[in-house]
Amino acid sequence: MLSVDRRSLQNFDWVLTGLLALILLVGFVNLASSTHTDAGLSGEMRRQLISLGLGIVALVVVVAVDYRLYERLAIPVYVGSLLLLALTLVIAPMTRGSQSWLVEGRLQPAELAKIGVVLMLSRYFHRKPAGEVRGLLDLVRPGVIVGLPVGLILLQRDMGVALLTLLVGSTYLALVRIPKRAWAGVALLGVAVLACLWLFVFQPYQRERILDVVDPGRDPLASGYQVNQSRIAVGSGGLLGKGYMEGTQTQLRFLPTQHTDFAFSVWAEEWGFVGSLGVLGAYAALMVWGLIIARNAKDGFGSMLAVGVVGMFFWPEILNVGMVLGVLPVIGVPLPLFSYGGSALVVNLVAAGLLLNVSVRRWVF
Amino acid sequence: MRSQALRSAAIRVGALRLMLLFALLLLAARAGQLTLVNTDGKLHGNRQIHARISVPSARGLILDRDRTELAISVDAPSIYVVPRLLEDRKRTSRELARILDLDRRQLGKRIEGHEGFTYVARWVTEKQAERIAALELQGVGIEYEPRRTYPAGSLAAPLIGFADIDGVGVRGVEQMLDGWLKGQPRVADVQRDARGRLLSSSPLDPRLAAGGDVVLSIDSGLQGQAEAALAEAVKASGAKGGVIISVDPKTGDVLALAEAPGFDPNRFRHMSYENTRSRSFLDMVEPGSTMKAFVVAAALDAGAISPEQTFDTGEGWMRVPGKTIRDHRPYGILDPAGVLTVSSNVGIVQIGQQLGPEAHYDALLRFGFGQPTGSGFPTESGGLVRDWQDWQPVDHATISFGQGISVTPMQLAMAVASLANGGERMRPRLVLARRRPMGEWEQSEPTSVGQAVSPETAASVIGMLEQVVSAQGTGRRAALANVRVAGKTGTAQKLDRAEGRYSQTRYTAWFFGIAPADDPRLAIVVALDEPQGTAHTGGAVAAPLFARVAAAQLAHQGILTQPEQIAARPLPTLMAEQEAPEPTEQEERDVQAVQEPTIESRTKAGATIATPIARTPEVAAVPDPPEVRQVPKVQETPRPKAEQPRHVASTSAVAKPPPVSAPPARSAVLQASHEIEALPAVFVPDFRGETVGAARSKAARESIDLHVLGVADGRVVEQSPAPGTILGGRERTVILSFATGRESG
Repeated sequence: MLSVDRRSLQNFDWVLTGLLALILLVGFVNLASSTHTDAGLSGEMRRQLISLGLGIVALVVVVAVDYRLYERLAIPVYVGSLLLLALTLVIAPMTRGSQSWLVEGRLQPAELAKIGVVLMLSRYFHRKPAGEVRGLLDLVRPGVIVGLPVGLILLQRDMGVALLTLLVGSTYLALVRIPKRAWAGVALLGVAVLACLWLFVFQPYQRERILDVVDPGRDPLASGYQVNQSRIAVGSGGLLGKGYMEGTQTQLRFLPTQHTDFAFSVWAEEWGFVGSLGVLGAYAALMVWGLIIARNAKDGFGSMLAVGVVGMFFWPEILNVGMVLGVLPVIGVPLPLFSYGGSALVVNLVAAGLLLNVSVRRWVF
Repeated sequence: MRSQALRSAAIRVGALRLMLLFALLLLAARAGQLTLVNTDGKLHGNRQIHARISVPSARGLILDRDRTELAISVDAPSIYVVPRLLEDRKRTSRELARILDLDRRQLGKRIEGHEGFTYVARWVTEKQAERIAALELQGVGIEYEPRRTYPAGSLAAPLIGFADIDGVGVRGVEQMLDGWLKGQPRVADVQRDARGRLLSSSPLDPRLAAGGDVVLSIDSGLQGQAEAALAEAVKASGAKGGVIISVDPKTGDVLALAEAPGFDPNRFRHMSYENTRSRSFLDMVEPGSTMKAFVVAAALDAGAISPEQTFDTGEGWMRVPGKTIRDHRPYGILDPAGVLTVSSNVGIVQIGQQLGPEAHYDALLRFGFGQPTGSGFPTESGGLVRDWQDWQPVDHATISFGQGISVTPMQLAMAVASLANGGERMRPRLVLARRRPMGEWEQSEPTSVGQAVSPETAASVIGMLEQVVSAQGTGRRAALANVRVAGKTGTAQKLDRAEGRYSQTRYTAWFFGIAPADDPRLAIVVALDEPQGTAHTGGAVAAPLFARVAAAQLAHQGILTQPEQIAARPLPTLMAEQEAPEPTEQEERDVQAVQEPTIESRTKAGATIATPIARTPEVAAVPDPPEVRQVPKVQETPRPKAEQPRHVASTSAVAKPPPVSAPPARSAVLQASHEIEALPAVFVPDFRGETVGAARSKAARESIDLHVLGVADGRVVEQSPAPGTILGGRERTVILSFATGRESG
């Protein structure tokens, strides 16, 4: 099935590769600052570089195989990820209030589950074209496909990833032709889910975080501490920033989890509004290019796959940057390809590989 | 079908693209708002990072004149927490409480009550700090701040004082020179990180910011020796405390300033104010007979008397309006030197009268009494000298022998030093030199504050004071081998505040000395507060202590000597009186002390009073006390009589001493018999039911002395003798008892 033919190479997607490389590079530059010590290369840097190596290998492997194979692999991957999630629930220890690491610090099955969901939904909507959706009942099966892993992740008390998985799944709604009545149903369902979440699922601290978005000054030292410090960091960056490794919020460690969830505020502080626009622009370019790949894909599965991968990048980016800028609650979602985190980086590179795969094979028949 | 679906999908992908871009645009707008429009964040961030804080600087050194360290600053660890950063509050407070020996619940409250930086314990031990550091608790930190320590412990503690936990000098030199010692507060823009740690400290070099150093005039060796001698004397005499001040008369340098009881400034947190004050500078004490030297000096200087002039002290008593002034025993005709030698009250009162109150008062001020010495010592007392215009004749009389005037030991020391310095009074120099951190030493010059008396007068008085330290003198126990000593004893009755009169049992024993008398290098004042027992006089307890301290200090200056007690001898010709001393008057007991055994000999003997011996008529016949080991019985017999006879009726300034008649016996009845000519007999009035004040004025009208048993409070319930008794002669005393129905206060 290996088909790295000349044509694929000739049509190699330099734009996508360049964008990925750019975001990764910026992420690493930023990581060097946020974990900066006087003792040279930080441990985080080293681990992240190793993850990058692994991720690139994974990407190459993913690209090398014709993506049409993945349509067949969708069910095994999906079922496998569900099994891993279940296994995690049984054997994994609780760490920092959640139970999401199958191997502590190494493997988060929930990350894999997102790929499973994307593959599965792409397969579903390829086989049953989205345009043929007539009513809400047609959404039950995709709903179940998304719901199973989301439920398992919720049981692990990993709210952020659960929400993210749900959102990635819902990306496909944009491609579905749904009657107006059905939209009302979707909206109603969404409100009902949110209410249930608020009342039964959310921990008190999670409610606090949501309230903090509405009123950032209500408790600046406790629940609102992270967001306030982040806003200070971003705001104090100004137009051009304080300069690399010069961010006081960062270097003085006022920023919480500054190399993971709040990596973007480090960037914003040191590089200013211009730097922020640059990174947001790079992501926007990535999204747009991803959707172009989706449009140009040679078949429905490829198109669906590309949309799913765009969703995989888009949603965490919105949630993360929204959180950093204080317009969304603190959910604990890292910025894809940018934040520190090995497992996430590998999975994101695999997803990027899927996109690249679709892109290079748009002419291959 | 498929392609149509694809086309439809393509349109939707385009719509999705717009949505995504719109969302990203919103975020970009938000970023722009935060960074460019609403810059609160920037200000807030600066506020939390930059703080104007005061970094404590190390206090400067306090050194003695040989540059021995008396007070230093060392870095002591303090433990703080930043509760916001604590990972496990329970465990943190448990561990900290265990290591620091704190109450766990209180510590927990402290942690709960703060979000940011807060101290948990300050000045913990190095070991505790190490143990806490080893725990690597998140949010717990150790900060080193300078801590004051006094390596010499209690040495010169009342002089040096101490600095409190915040490094502020609150006693002694630490307080006096606080501005110099504390150095520059390093107030600066500093950055704090999220844990409250200081990142960039002040631009000031800590060495430059540290306080300035000072060199004190005291000599640790002499100081230690003086303190040891004082402590021993205080213990042996049962005194409450004592002071020794040694001054270089030429410069005013305070070479040693020993005070007992002392304290350890390293443990200042456990001290009350009362125990950390400097007695030398703050306590106002009646100087007793030591004042006589200054009255003689003032009278000589003013030309009111001449050194050859004689004074008839008659039978050893005289009356001034309101009081009978008594000598310990009759001394007859005395010249000024003789007055000082035997410490005659009657003689000095006459000299004072020749001088006159105004000149007397002015001289006291010239000697530095009645105002602070200018040492700069914090809250230094100025003593108490009333204005001469307020002096009644009786006041002038008693002030002549040091009653009704209060001085600080330091004032007395500087007055003595002025005699030793050719009459020129110096300001006490406590600090010899000071320097800014890393700077050069700047010497402080000796300062003169004026000429108290002329150099000739000073030399003359020193010559007279040498006789005090002679076989005939009250200060003979102050003598040194091969070194001439000038000095003066004093035994001041302390004022009994509860009874409003002078105590019969509580004294301040004084001695001041100048050595060598022919080339003064030292002026030393010794005071013992309430020495117990019969050896409570300046001559008995203070003079030997002077000899011990002076010998050690002279040895330090290369003059080898040692205490050498002189056997008592009578005054050769001036002693007109041959009769037994009148042993009851307590105003001046120096001479009596000559005849008393020393404490050492008494305790050695172990025995008490074996045979009551009467005073022999001839003083010369009294054997040297140390061998006698007997206390005259008269000392122990209760003598119910007042010490303050009043004679309001008398109008003349001085009642002439009555002519000498039969030798007075110790019996009051006999004494009264030859007293009748002098004073008319009176009927004892009925004092019962009177208040203290009323009884006093009634007694004054009848020239009767009152003696109060117990506390003079309430009304008289008993009196002795009974009303109507005829009372005459010298002993016109009525004993009163008051109803003490209530507790004092």
